[in-house]
Order: sequence, then structure tokens, then C-alpha cells
Amino acid sequence: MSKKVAIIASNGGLETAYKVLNIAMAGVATDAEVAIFFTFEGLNIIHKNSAQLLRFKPENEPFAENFKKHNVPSIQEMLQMAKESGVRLIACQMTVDVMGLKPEDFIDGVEFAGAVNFLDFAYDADVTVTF
Amino acid sequence: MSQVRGILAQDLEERLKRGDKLQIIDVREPAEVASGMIPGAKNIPLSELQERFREIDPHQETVMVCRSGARSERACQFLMAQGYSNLWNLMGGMLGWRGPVQ
Repeated sequence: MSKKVAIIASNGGLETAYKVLNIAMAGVATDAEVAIFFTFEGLNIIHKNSAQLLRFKPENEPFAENFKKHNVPSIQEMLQMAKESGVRLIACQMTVDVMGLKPEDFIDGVEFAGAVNFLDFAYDADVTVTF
Repeated sequence: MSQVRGILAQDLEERLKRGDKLQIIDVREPAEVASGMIPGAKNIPLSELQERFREIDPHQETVMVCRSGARSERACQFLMAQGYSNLWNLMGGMLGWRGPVQ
């Protein structure tokens, strides 16, 4: 039976997005079952406008150039690949509501559920990480 | 919409380092691969893939590689149409490869 990786994305920012997607993609590369729970600012990562919403912290701006130089895929490309590989993208229903957001604000393929639902997955997970 | 599985350079590098058996096919032109290929890779230029794809073992887990990840994705789609499964496209291609080259 394949390993299960549970990821909680609770921060916004491009750094968090890369941290989350790196673990998710490593899971995909090693045939693990992966689910990501996006809550609070983490919702930026799966927002339709993520390209505008996700920024590096000012002190990390110099890294942006290196990402380009090494041809690191964009967050949007990695999310697409993750989705196609079966990674579950779960938006926290409560924070979606509280922040006045709607399902249409997010990319396709996102599930909307609460923490109880995510815990059902996480209880069985071999690894749980929070960013 | 592509249904090709993608793998990041960093994950491929680590899988190779830990000894995973992967068949690596580099579809760049001979002039391009002169600058170095992933150790153990076999060069079959995309232009020759139609004639030579049978050199690729369909029973092995296979990673398709090119310079940026675009040509290798097309190679994956071609191979899938020939019935290959267990395939990966190296996302970002050799431009993103920071491991050793031969």
C-alpha cells in the first residue's frame, strides 16, 4: 500500500507555495497519495489569481532570478501536474466563507471541505507537514 | 490537456541517488547532448523517435528528457499512443538539472 502524505498550507506567499508543492511533487515522484489542505492565506495558492497574489518576501526577491535560471516550474504548472497526478487539493470551507470567497475564485479541481474531512485523511497519513 | 506525469529535476536526482532503476531517454539532438546527459541516459533524438522507439523497454519506469521539458512531453505523448505507460516527463528539462552529467 502506498504511503500517504498530508500537507496543511496555512500561509500565503511564494515561499510557502514552493514548500508545499515541493513536498507534494516529491510525493507524486515516489508514488505516495497526497492531499493538501489550504486554509487562511494558504488559499492564495489555489486562487485563480495566484500569479498576482503570491509574492516572495522582499528579502527573498533576489531568489526569483535563480528560480528562472534553473527553469523551476511555476506554482501554477506544479499545481496542474499535481492535480493530474491525483493530488487532492482541499480548500478549507470555513475560511473560504469567512474571507468572503467563492468556489469560482479558485482553480478547477479544488474540493471544499472542513478540517474534520481533512483529518480523516490525515489520521491515516504516514507524514503530515504544515507550512 | 496533457495527461503526462511530470517529475521535478530535484526529485529525479534523489531517486537516482538512492538507486532507483530508471530508464532515462534524452530526446535532444546529438549536438545538444554533447554538453552532457544525465548519467545512464540514452539519446534518441525526437526526430528519430518514430523509427527507434522500440529501443525503449516498455516494462521499465522511464523518464523522458529534453532541454526545457517541451519536446520530452511530446515524446511522452507519442509513446503513450504506442502503448507505453510507466512514463515521466522531466519538468523544466536539462535547464533545471543540477546533478552530475556524463
